[in-house]
Amino acid sequence: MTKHTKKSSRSSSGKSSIAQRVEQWLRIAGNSFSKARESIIPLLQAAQSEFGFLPNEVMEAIARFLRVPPAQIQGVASFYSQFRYEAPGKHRVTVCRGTACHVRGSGRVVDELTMWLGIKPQETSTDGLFTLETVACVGSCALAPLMVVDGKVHGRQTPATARKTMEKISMAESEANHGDKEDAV
Amino acid sequence: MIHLTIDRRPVTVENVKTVLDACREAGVYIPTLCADPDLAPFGACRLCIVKIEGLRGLPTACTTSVADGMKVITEDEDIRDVRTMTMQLLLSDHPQDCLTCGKNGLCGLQEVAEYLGLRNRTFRLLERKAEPDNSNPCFEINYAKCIFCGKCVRACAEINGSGAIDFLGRGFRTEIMPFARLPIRESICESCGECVERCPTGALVPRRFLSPDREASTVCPYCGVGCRILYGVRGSTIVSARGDRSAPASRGRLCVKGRYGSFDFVGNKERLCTPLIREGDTFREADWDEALAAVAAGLSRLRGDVFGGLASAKVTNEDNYIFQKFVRAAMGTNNVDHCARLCHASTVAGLALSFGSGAMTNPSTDVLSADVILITGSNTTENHPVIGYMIREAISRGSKLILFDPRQIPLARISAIWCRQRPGTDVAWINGLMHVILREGLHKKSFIDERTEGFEDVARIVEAYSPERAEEITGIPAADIVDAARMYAGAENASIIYSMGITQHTTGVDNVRSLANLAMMTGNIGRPGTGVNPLRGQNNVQGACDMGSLPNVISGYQQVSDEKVREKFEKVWGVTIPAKPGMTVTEMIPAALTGKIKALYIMGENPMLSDPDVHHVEKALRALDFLVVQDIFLTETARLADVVLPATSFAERDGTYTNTERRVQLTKPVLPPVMGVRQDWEIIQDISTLLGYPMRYNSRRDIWDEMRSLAPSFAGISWERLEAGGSICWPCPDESHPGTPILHRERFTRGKGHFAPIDYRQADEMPDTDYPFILTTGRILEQFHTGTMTRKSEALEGLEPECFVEMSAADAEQLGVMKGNHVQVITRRGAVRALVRLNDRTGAGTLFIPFHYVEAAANELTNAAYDPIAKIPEFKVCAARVEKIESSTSP
Repeated sequence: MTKHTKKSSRSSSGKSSIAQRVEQWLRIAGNSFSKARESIIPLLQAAQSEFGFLPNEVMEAIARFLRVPPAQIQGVASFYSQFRYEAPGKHRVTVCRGTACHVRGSGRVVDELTMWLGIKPQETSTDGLFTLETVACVGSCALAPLMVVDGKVHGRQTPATARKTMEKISMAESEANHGDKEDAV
Repeated sequence: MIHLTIDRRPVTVENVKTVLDACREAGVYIPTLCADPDLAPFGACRLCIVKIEGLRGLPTACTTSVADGMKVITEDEDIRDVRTMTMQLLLSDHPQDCLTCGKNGLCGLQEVAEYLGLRNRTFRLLERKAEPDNSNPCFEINYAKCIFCGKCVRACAEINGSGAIDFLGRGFRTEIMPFARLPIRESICESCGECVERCPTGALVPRRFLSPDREASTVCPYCGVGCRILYGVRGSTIVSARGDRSAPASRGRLCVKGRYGSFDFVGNKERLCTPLIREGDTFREADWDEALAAVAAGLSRLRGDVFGGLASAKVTNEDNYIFQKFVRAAMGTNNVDHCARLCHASTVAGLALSFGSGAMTNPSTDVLSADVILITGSNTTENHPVIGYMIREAISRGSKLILFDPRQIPLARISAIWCRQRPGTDVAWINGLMHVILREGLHKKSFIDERTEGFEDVARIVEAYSPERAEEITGIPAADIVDAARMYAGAENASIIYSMGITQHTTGVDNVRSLANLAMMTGNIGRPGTGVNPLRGQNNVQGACDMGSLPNVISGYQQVSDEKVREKFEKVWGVTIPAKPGMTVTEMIPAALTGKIKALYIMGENPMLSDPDVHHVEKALRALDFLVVQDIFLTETARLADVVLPATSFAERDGTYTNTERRVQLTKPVLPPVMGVRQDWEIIQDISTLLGYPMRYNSRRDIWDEMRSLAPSFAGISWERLEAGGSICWPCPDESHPGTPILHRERFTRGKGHFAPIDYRQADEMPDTDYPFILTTGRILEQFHTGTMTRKSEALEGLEPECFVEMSAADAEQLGVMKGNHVQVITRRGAVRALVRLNDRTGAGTLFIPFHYVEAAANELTNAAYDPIAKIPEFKVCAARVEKIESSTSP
């Protein structure tokens, strides 16, 4: 199992391999973009859907491809909240903080998750398992307050139900891990 | 002419674009923090708001185009209220340490606050927490003082062109940062300081700054671009430097060397202030009379062809003229040369043969009108940085760059095609391009027929250079050669720029002539945006050549072997001039060992570092009977002299310099000379007089006037015209002539352009099993030549203090060395210790070492084999091996 922790994405061995992966990707993906500044955002989006986030190597490669300075690519990316710069966790937990969810107590759900996962919103746990996010409105206000875990919507959440979902995932992960190790032995 | 009303007063303005320009033109003050005459309008600070009849709201004057009949109100209560609020918001997070801030008294915020009459802060202070970045020895960055006017970001992108910094994030959390939040020194920042000069607050301040009490402009002492610098002087010390926007060559731009490293050495404690006479192994101080008498006594026994003089590309035209006159008239020999032999002798010889004139054909700003720019053997952004800015500007406006360079230099990033040739194979790829051009019929037949001769010979020889064969020799993929040929030949206007990567080879002249063939074949000569443009490396190397500090030509490239030329000079000089061309630097040095040369007079040069195979140079200089060195420091060469004569620095003299584009610029002293030193021309004049050939000039102007009476190319460049603020490109045959920025317009200087068929020849020393690497040498942005001047600058030495060797990661891995290790680089002639640098610039099998460092002199390694015509040494190719220094683990 690959763990995308903060550390591994920045270690030197990881760097060279990711640089190679980025080069490979851009050699093919680059064909569908014009070498003009208008391509900055579409390329960043394509890269993020490929790699899950935008490591420096991606922004440097796009800069080389478009012949613009990397600082400019970084500048454009940082203007939009859709781009992330750290590897996301294996499981993405998104809590809706829209008006309806807020009124029905999504703040308490976030607090519970923050405490249980030990991370603040928009951060990834050090074991690389969870990324906690908040968004403005998912658009399913009838289910408020709601939480989306790995694309699956969990409606009418309370701090307790949210925690239970986390515990379930965590347990499954540690069993899988244990199994891996036994297999290895 | 635009007529408008500003604050109910009718105003007429000309040549302005925006309302802000119009107001300034009319002498009306408008506060602004983000507008800059060199940058595109941005409209960030919102302080220049005005009212314009017919327009809604309060438009910003800097982004509104001015139009006839506009009615503009620049200040009323509404405007003042909004400006005050804007300023209050800016001050709400600005630190309050004005008295100890680096911009105190020069701050834009202070100026606007004063204009608005602010007396208090309305908002509670909410300082941003931002750590300062002190990594760069030239300037400091105090992020907390940034007001986000964006001048630095725009200066970096629009003026320098490297775009090292940009806005990051948005809203209150916006920052300005290099890529990946690196410390500025580790980013691609070139430390040029264009941002620092423009920053309105204390966010970017020079590390050392004192307010000057006066300013004076002179030509930068480093490369051949010919930028003018306004030096700030306080008492008798230079304390600041900024670009002179009135200078045509540089338009106010400077590089890190000019801005931060061009004046420390002027007031350096090690400056020579008194003549020195050798006594055994040491020197004793002497007064001028005694020293001059000693020189005269020493030289009087060694006249004629046993004497040689090395002039200098660092002194004025007048000093060069008087020096070569002294050698020819007083010493009776043509043995006069200077360091141009080591950089562009191939150009002077090669372009003279092809076109009739051995200089840049077009002005440097011409790259802005080229559709395609072909650069080879020039790391322009590092070695001619301000021309590098122009190249980047041209590319950002849509020009295409073709780059041929063995190293992945910074320009490779923005080139349309980058080809990595094996060092020393230039003739092969140039012939390859011509092969493709002829095969595909892309040549310009009418130009070839009307303006050139010898085309058929070239057509025949390049037949053998198919792209595939060129690939075999050069290592450049055949497809890239085809693409490059099509792009170059297909351009409306294409310009070739080259430098020492072309000239410093045993095939230097061949390389230059091949480029000339390429340009002629496509008709890219004699129009704006075209030409063959060698970039010269010293601030007056063009001038030193022009003045005749060369063994075969007297002032204005007049052949010394031509009887008519000699007669003309003899009439004015009153002596007989020897007809035989003299020896070059690269001949004189070895001749010292055989006793053919017994005395040398070296003015402002340091062959102990600059010449190839310096062990050999030292032996040669020690073998001389008599050596005179005239310099501002006790250089490695001066230490070997019998008499050392202290001269003035560039900041302490008047006179003219000729930059790489043949532009003659007049300078005035910035400072009075240091006590004890004398002007170069005065020293030469006195020695000449003591030797029985009296000279009686009263000033450099006298010398210049004599020179231009003898050299037709300069006849029209009068001191008055230069003093009136002009700068004129030669040839300029009479005083009503405007000068000649573009050569060979209607016809070539030699009549018809001459195609020379050139075959590829190998470099003199190729890698083998004992010495498997190709070593190439060169320069870096932060140091200059032998380091005599730059290494005395804290800022520059702080940036690049140590000799390094660039190698590919693959080679490093094989050698078992890492970045930061020390290695020995060894050739058949010597060894130097250098720090390993891995930056993807060199390809496998190639090493690069800069030659600036005396403690690791690259020229202990280089091969003294030279070009048969130009006698230029092969600095760019020799065989080398690398040995790991075992004990070294820490950098």
